[in-house]
Amino acid sequence: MSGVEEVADGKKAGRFKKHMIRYIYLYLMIAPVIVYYLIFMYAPMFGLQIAFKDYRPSLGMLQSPFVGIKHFTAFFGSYYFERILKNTLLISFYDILFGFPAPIILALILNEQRNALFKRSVQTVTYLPHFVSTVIICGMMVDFLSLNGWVNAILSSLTGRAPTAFLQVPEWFRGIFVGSNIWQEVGWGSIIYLSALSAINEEYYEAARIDGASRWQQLRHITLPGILSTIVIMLIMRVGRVMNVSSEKVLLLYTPNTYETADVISTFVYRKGILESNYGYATAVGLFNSAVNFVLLISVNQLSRKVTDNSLW
Amino acid sequence: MKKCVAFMLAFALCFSMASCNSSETPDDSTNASNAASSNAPAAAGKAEDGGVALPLTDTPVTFTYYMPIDRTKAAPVLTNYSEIEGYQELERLTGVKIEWVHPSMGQESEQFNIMIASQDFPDIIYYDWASFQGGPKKAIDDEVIVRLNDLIEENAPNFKSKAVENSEIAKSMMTDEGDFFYFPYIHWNQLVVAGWSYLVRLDWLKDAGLELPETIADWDIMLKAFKDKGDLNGNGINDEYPLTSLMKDRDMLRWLANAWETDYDFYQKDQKVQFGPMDESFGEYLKHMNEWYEAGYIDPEFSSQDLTTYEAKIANGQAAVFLSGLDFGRYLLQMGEDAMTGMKYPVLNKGDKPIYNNGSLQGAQGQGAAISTACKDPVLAAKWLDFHYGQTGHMLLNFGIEGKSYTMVDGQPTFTDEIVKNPEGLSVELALVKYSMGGIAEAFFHDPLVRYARFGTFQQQRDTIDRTQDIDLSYKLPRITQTSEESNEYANIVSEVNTYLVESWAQFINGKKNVDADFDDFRNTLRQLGIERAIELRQLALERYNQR
Repeated sequence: MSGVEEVADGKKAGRFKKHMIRYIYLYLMIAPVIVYYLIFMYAPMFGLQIAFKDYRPSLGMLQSPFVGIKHFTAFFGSYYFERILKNTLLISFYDILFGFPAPIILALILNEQRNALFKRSVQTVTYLPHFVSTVIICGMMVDFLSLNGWVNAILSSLTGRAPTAFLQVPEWFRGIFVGSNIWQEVGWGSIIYLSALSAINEEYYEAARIDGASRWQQLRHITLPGILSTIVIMLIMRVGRVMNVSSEKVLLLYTPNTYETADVISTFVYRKGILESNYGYATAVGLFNSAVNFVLLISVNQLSRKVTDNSLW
Repeated sequence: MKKCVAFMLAFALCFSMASCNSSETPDDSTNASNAASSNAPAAAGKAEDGGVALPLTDTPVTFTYYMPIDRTKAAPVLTNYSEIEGYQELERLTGVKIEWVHPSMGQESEQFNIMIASQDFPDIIYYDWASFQGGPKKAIDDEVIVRLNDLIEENAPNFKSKAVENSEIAKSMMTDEGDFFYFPYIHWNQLVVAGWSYLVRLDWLKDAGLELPETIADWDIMLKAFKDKGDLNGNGINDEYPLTSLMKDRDMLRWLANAWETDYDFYQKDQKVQFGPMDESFGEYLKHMNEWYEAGYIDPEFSSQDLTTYEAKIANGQAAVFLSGLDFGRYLLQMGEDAMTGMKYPVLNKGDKPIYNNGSLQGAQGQGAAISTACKDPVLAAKWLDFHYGQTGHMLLNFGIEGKSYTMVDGQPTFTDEIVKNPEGLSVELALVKYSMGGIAEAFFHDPLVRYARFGTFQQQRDTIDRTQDIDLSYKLPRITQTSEESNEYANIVSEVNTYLVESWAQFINGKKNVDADFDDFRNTLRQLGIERAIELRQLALERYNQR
């Protein structure tokens, strides 16, 4: 009896060996990615336990006293809970509303261009800011928008009104944040749509033109449906990051005057965790953040599967 | 003139005491042998110092020492403290080599917290221990740093006689439980009481035909005159502000609350802890600031600009009134000897004694070097730090190298021209940092003469010191600490209060909130955030401090 099993095992092992020899380079190629995820994405999850603990570095994660959901109740009861939640959601909402369609529109416009040189130079110019560090982008924003900056100079020479310190006005913050995001990412974001566009078969357009479709009709009935699945996938992934508003960028742009519209969950976590070294609390807030993201991702994915037949999995 | 003479007398007095090993404090409590050895002249300290045999170790030892590099007083001329000749000499004498660990500038608090969380400590850590999360006692309990009582008793004779046996200094540097935990930067100085001053452009004030202001009403007139004049620096553009300020660091607008007998933060009055923004008079103060803002006296970027922009505004002549340390000689070097001068701290009624709640107090204030639990040889580290307080270490760290940065004139250390009249035009601090830490701070007894040399290079600086000596320091809270149990609660309340306070304060000033309409709401929210409990906790800490 055991002999039979051994033979079967031997066969399996043999097949595995063959498989490995054949595909070893593919496995080697993906290995760094797997290792990366294990080290930087899965291993830190071990640390999530301190969200339920009164973490003290000297005791370590395992030995720190367990406090249950104390940090969560403290966060939900906090004076700032509503405000930072609202700010986070609003900034993200505007970012999706304006920032999400921007690269699609840019890609569509570029796609309609027949002049290759023009197309390529626009592409290069628009995705250059992506390679500039956030710190520098924010430094530029601060400079441009200061009282002596060129934005004010142009505005006051055109309209003759007194200069405004834009970064001091809470109402302007979201606009500046979302606007600079678009400026920085629009070109880069359009690349994926351009590649989706190039995958659409030329014959569709030819057939449409013979049937007398205008360019607008071609856009609506061929181009957009052609890249719809890409758009939906990108949208699902974007919604999965709704609660992540870049803390660095907010930190670099906000001032006490604009806290009321600019303070978001990630900056709150930064202040609590890094500046006040209240690690347990900060972890709890971060965990809450990820949980909301997770729930959103799942539900949008479900919704999209039902409505458009496109989904991540 | 009389004042000036008195001043010089006090100066000379302090001086003679400083030169006999700064022993103005421990005299009565030290035993005879200790006193005798500590009175040994500096020159004899080559092979032996205060009864300590040198070198401290026969085999070379290297310690790592965490300390932020000073942004304004060191960073412009050096990148590592090992370049300071005083430390090189210290290394030669003691046999202890120091490897400096400097956090990146602007990231100090983040990097410190990460260092604590990662449990990866250098041997010696310089930090403001009074602001350690949970208090210094927690740093000992969490095994970040070691308790020093026994180490001091056995291995730190200089520190013991100068600091521990002086009850005032000892009180300021121990925990409520009586633990010693660090070698502090000790400031013991009647020569220059206040380290900061409100400066005004003297040339512009004279152009406006005004005297130095004393009351807030005088300030109103002065600021109005500056505003009306408009183009003060004469460059053809209206780019000047009568008053500029910062949020952190040079937060003049906050400090002005002192004129209304209140404060932006906690203070004490008759042994009772108060929180300024809860005071009725804080509303009056805010209202007045808002009037200034509406009239265009205050730089609208007061709550958003950084130190670099602020300093540039001063150096470019875009600000008439601003806050600066008394080391404003660096501006005078650039802008002329009479470009600016310090005013008296303003008061509401002429003749009142100004309240000053901002400079550091006498004694140890929390800044200092502690020995970490990772240190392989705490005894040697304690001996090395103790050496800073002995005669040789005192001279090296305060004055630098004899013959280079200072010479002895009539038994008194006097800075050379390289320091006080630097050929490259460097300020005293920047010239001195090549040789010593006198302009900055480390674990040592700060010599009053160094401070006076730093702050008294120019006549306008000396006049400023004169004007700002007569102040009421009684509102200032000492460096009190919460217990580990209280500190979490306290920190949570204060962090929420501070976020709320900082934005409301800016809004009251720029008119987004109105004192008449919103001040009660503001105070109610502070109550809701638990400010009364925080005051209670501070009160307990103050009582414990007074009982030390």
